[in-house]
Parts: sequence; C-alpha cells; structure tokens
Amino acid sequence: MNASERFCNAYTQNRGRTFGLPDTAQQLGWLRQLKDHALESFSAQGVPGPRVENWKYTRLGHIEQLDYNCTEQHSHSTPEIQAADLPICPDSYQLVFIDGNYTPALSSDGSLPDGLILCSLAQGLIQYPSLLSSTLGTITEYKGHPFAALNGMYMADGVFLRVAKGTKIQAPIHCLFYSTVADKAIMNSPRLLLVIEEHAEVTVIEHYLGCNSTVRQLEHQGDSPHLTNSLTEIALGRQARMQHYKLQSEPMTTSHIAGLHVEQQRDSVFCSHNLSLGASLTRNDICIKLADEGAECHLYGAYCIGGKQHVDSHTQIDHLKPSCRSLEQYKGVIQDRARAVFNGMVVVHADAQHSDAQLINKNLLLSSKAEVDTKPELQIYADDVKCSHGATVGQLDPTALFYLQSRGITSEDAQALLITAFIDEILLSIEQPAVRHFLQPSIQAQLHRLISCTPSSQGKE
Amino acid sequence: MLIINDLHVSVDGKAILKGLNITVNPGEVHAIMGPNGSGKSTLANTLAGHENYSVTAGKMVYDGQDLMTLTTEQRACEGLFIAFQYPTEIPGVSNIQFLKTALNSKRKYHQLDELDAVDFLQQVKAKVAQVGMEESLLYRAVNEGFSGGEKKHNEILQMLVLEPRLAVLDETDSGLDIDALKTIAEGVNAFRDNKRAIILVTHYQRLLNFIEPDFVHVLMDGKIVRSAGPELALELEEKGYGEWVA
Repeated sequence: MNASERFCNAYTQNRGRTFGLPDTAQQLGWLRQLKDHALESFSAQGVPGPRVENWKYTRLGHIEQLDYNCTEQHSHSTPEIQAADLPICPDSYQLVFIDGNYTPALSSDGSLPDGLILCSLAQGLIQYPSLLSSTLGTITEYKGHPFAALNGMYMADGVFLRVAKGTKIQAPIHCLFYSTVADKAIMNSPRLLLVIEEHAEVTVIEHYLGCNSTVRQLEHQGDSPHLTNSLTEIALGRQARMQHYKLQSEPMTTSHIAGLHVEQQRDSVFCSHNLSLGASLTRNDICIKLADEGAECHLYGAYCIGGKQHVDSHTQIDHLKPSCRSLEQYKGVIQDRARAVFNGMVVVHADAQHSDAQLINKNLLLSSKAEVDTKPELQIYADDVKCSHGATVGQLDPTALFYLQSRGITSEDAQALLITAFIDEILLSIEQPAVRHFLQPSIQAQLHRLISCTPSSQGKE
Repeated sequence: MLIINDLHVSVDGKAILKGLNITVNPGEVHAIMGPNGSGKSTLANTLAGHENYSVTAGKMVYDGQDLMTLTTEQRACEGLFIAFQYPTEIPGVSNIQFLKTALNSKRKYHQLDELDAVDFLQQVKAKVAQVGMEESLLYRAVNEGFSGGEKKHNEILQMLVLEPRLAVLDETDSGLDIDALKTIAEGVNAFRDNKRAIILVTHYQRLLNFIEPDFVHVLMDGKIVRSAGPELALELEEKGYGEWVA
C-alpha cells in the first residue's frame, strides 16, 4: 500500500470509531458527510508526487514512507506541563492544545465578553452544532489541496471562534498547539474555524511549538516522524477586520503542513503575518478570496531557515469583484543548505476592475549552498487594474559590512545588524505593540542561530 | 602615534602606493594633498583594512602595534577612524542604532559596560547640533537618501561620537559648499587636542583655510615627495602639482 492508500484505509477502518470527538458528536450526520467528502477528494488526489506542478520543489518522500498513526489519543500520557513553561501573549485569551488535545487547565477559564464564542472545536460541535454545520468546510476548496482534504478526514479537534456582529475584541486570542511527542510517526490534524461577522474585529495568534524546539536545531536532522497537518478557515463578514499571526516554531522532528483559507466580504480587511522558523519541512498554502467589492488583504511572511530546512510558501489571492486591494510581502533568510520555495499567485478575474494588487518576495542567501526558488505569478483577466510583482535574491552587501566593521562592530554583529534590518520590515508592519513584542524574540533567536553558523564565523566554507 | 614606513599597496594587481613614508604624532594635524590618482584614498582604505587593498611591502605601526595584525574592527576599537570619501548607505539600520552599536562594540572591546541609553541619547544630540546636522537625520537609515553634504556631516558626527585617537578624513571637503565646510571644520577643530591626531586627505587647499594643519605633504604617484609646514598649501594653490609630474 502506498501512503495515500494507507491514509484512506485507516479512515475507512476507523470510520465508526471516535476520532477524538465525544461520543455524542458521532450522531452528527452532517459531520460524517463532510468527512466522507474529504475522503473522496483526497483519494482522488493522493499525496502529491513530483509531477504535480504546485509541489514541484517540495519532495514528500519521508512522509510517504512513514506509516502514520492518525488517531492515537495521547491524553493519558500527557507530561506535566506548567503554564509558566508555555510562552503566551500577555493579556490574551488562550486555548492550549498538548499533542492535539485541548487542555483546559492551561487555557483561559475566565468569562468571555458578549458576542465572543471561543472554544475547542469538539466543544463547539456539542454547544453550537447549527453554527458549525453551516460554516465548517464551506470555505475550503479541496481541489488542488490534498492535505486540506486529509485534514478534513482526520480532524479531531481545534478552535471554534465566532465574533458576533459589531463586536470588537481588543485582547488577542492565542491558540497554542504544543507537541511533546517527537519520536513516533504521528499525524496531528488541528482544525480552526474562525467566523468574524459584519463590523466585528479580532486578533488571533496561531502558534505551533514543541518541547524540544529550543534544542539546537540546525545540527544533523534525523527522521522527522511527526506530521502536523493543520487547516484554518476564516470567514470575514462585511467591514469586518482581522489581524492574524501565525508563529511556527516546530521542532526539527516535525513536518508542518498548513492550509489557510479565507473568504472576505465587502470592505473587510484581513492582515496576516506568517512566520516560519521551525520544522524540517514546512508547507503553507494560503488562499484568499476577495469575494466582494472593497475587500482588502495584507499578507506578510518571513521564513528564516538553516541546516537542511525546507520552507514552501504557496499563496493564491483571487480578486473576484471590483476595487479590491491586495498587498503581499514575503521575505526569507536562508543559511547553510536550506531551501525556500515561494509561489505567489494573484488572479484578477474579469469582473474585478480597479483591482490593486502588489506582490513582492525578497530573499537573502547567507551561504553558497542555500537555495531559493521563487515564482510570483499574475493572471489578469480585467483590463483596468493596477498590478505589480517582483522577486529578488541576494546576499549581504560586503560594502555595508565593511563600513560597519570600520566603526568597530564585529563581523558577526555587523551581519546580525544587516540581517535583522532585512527582516524587520515584516515585523514593523505589526500594528499591535504587545503582539510585536511577543513575536520578536522568537525571530531574533532564530536569526541569532542562523548568524552564528555563517561560514566566515566557522572558518570554512 | 602612526609610523608608516615604505608602504607599497596594490589594488587588483596594480601598484598604487609605491613606498609611502609618514610619521604622525599625537596633537598633530597633517594634510596630505595630491592630484587625482596619486593614491590618497588608497592610503585611507589601507589604514582601514579594506580587503581589496593588498599591502605588498612596508609597515604601518600604530601605537607600537603592526596594523596588519589587527582586523578592521580591531583597528577601529583601538582608536583609528576613517571618514570615507563615499560613505555607504545601509537601509533598515537607523543612524542612532548604528552609533549605539558601534560605541558599545568599542566599550565591550575595552571591557567596559554598555552605555546608559539616556546618557547616550543626550550626548549624541549635543554632537548632532555641534556638527550642524538636523536631529531628524538620526532616525533615518544610515546615509540612505542623504545628499553628498549630509553624508559628509554624518561621517564627522560619527567621529565626534566615537572619539578616536587618530582620525583620517578622506576628501571630507569634496562636494561641500562654504557653509557646510565651515560647520565641518568647526566640528573637527573642536575635536583637536594634544592627545589626538588628524590626517586630512584633500585635493583642495580651501579646507585648510579653516583647519590649519601643522604639516602639509604632497602625495604624487604613490609617494610623499615633499613635506613642509602650512605655507606649502598656499604654494600648491598658486603653482599646482606640475613641479612633481614626471
């Protein structure tokens, strides 16, 4: 059996059993239908091979070889984790998942403001079944996204957020997915459903972390038996505003595959910062539908990798109606033998006159073996639009380095200054200072790790 | 403080300095003048330790240390400062951040504590005013979008902040109008004392009206061909460099 067959087979065999959901949830026929539909789509596509264009530069060999346990419950052997061990954004509402299991003891237990529903997906299925049945799975297109379909088959828990009309939530919502298991072939399928109604506002932090994430990551990477396959669906109503932050600092023993599917209504604003620092393999698929006039999305991304890490960011923004605006800026710092892939696609449909789309990807290579494949794409079917795209790949400016050194700054500090300045542009666009202060140390720590691996500081190429 | 003996330097295989000799003591201001191509900037860049400039013979001894044993950043921490002719732009790094990092690097080298942020800011603001710069330039990226004159002011500001013992100003006057020249000269003159030395590398005599040198040297074809007091500058102004052209 190949990997695709194994996944389908495991689903079919376990169909009657609990997928980590409470027994009562098994009565929800609509949910079973949703999952069966996901199975259909996944079995038609399978795990993408080298001939699939969108996966051309990202080999999935090690994922294909492993026989994943997709349904194991870890709750009984969860190690003692204290709240103090976990990095949480101050003054936020937090939901903490340990190895895929919602952990109330580590999550916020205070009362929520009016208009805010925030709970685990499993709780949501019990308490708000009609809300969920009308929205879960309605935004994601499985076609062309086999891993989203795979998540649809195996999703066992995650986050349900609903902000009611006109409600503006000031405190950020911090969803932390923390893994302790590293040595077994296990697949976690977190699912997030975020519904922001008309005129509502909210900030969400999606955070992936492992207990051995801080171990020196850039050394020899052995097997990566752990697989996170997450899917986040976001529905933004008219004039709704959302700040979304994703911080991925998974351990080297993990492959992280994530889908983010967003549908925006009239005059809504979606701003997302996607920070990829960890995991041996990362794949982000981001699909934004600007479904009505005046919708606006800002996609910022930063990937800072070394060793043999591989990060693949595929984004697609569809301008479906007139006068929408999209701004996308992704920056990468690549060290050692790491590899980055960027494919940013913007489609301006025939109806979408007066669209404004800007897309730029900039990469900094720190070693001669670092590699990046970048492909911005514009498909324009309307004739009165403003679109631009660009991509750059470069190295640190030796003249700038010399100038800094001539003022007494060491070679390592000079590189740090320039590399940090490069990535800072992404951080400076984070509007909320509390969130920026929360995210900055992770990036700085990763950049510091990458810089101290610079060939010149090791004395050899 | 600085003894350069029979210095030969090549760039891209081409010999530029061909046996340069000069001695600079604390408290002195030396002017090195010469026509284009004589090697003025080569001297400045070689002192800074730029990797494109190869020392093929001779020695540079600074405070008893052979400069070739020190890296660029070590030379700076030991008190050597070069104000470059074409200062580099560094997008994304603000002037204030740059100055603070440089100053703290030097302090770290000398095993001192880092500066107090408030003290530092006060000191820097005072020096910005002294050099005739606008305070807002502190928060802009280093030299980014700066006019030629602003870049030169920025070099002198760095000199005042870093307080080197030997400052080499490479054609600091080129591209400046009279007013800018005066403010820069004021900054440099305020910096003079009997423990510090300054080397002014220049093409024109005009700067020397404002910063009076103790010694003037003529650099021709990679060598110092004549040394004298300040009156030599006036002589060059009148007669030009023709006397030494082969």
